[in-house]
Amino acid sequence: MPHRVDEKAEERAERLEREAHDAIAGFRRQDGVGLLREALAIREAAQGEAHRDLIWTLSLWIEALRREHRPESAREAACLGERRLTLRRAALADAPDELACSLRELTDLYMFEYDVLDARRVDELRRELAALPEGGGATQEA
Amino acid sequence: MAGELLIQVIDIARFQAIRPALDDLDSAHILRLGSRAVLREAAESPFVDTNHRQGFAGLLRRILLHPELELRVFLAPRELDAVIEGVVHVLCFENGAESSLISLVGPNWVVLDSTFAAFIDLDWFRAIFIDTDADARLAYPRHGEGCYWVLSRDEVARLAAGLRPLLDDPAAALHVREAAQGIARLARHALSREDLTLAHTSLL
Repeated sequence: MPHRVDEKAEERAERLEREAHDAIAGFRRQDGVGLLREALAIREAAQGEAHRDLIWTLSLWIEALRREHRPESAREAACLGERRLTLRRAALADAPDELACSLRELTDLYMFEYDVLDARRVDELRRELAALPEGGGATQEA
Repeated sequence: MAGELLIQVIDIARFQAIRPALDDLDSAHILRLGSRAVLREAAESPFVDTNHRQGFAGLLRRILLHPELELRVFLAPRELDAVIEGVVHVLCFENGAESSLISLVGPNWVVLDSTFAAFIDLDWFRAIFIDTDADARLAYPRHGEGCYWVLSRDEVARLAAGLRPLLDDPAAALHVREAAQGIARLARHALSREDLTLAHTSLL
């Protein structure tokens, strides 16, 4: 019964993600990243690398990295952010306003203090944002 | 123990009533109808747009605009935490959990900063605010700086009784007396209705 096996895997991944969320918020970031590494591996094996459920795992991981406040962590967060954006493009195909938020979020991940980590990529993201239809690029988040 | 303690009035019955919606939010999946109704109520609250909750109204709008989407797909973890904290503040705390570090005693709050030292060695104060049981912790918000502990009604009554000698004690410093009077007023208010109690959180 492969479906049951997958369900168990998903439950386990979700539990690990919940523990990771607590760990990250409780300043135990390394513990959190370890749990997320395991959750991501479980989801990739059970659900595939393109499944939308990987988005939350990546979001938690990005959050852990952001809180380290180091340039190398910021670069790693941006890298994970690219992978998350790919997944969100599919998941948010009918929600251009939310895709716009995701593009802004990734743009922010390329900023570290007053430095732009990849100016060319940030320009691309901004051009894509500007080209989104109303409700997407034209609507700024409150 | 050094630090600052914020004491506020919470409608604990309201918190229990919206608890299923908070659980639903915390799971970060698609929200149930009842949970969306709670979010709509928060969005219509006069406290939704206060300065210390910048972005909360926008997050509520985004969620309510997309009932078909799982929260985990489009929200960041810190955004979800901010929504949960905002909903609890706006719907369960008096005056939307307004407080101030400038006015240490307000209509619905008391901040103990330097006055903390005057209370810390009182046995009843320690028992109520420091040696707290884990199950006295409010289930939400679970993350961030805003984790709260709630007092039982017995503890509120014990607090009111413990404060009584301080209220008119000429030997107590004025700011300590003012803090004691502020907490006593909050305790009286909490005891006046079954659904109210006091909640406290560390500001450090």
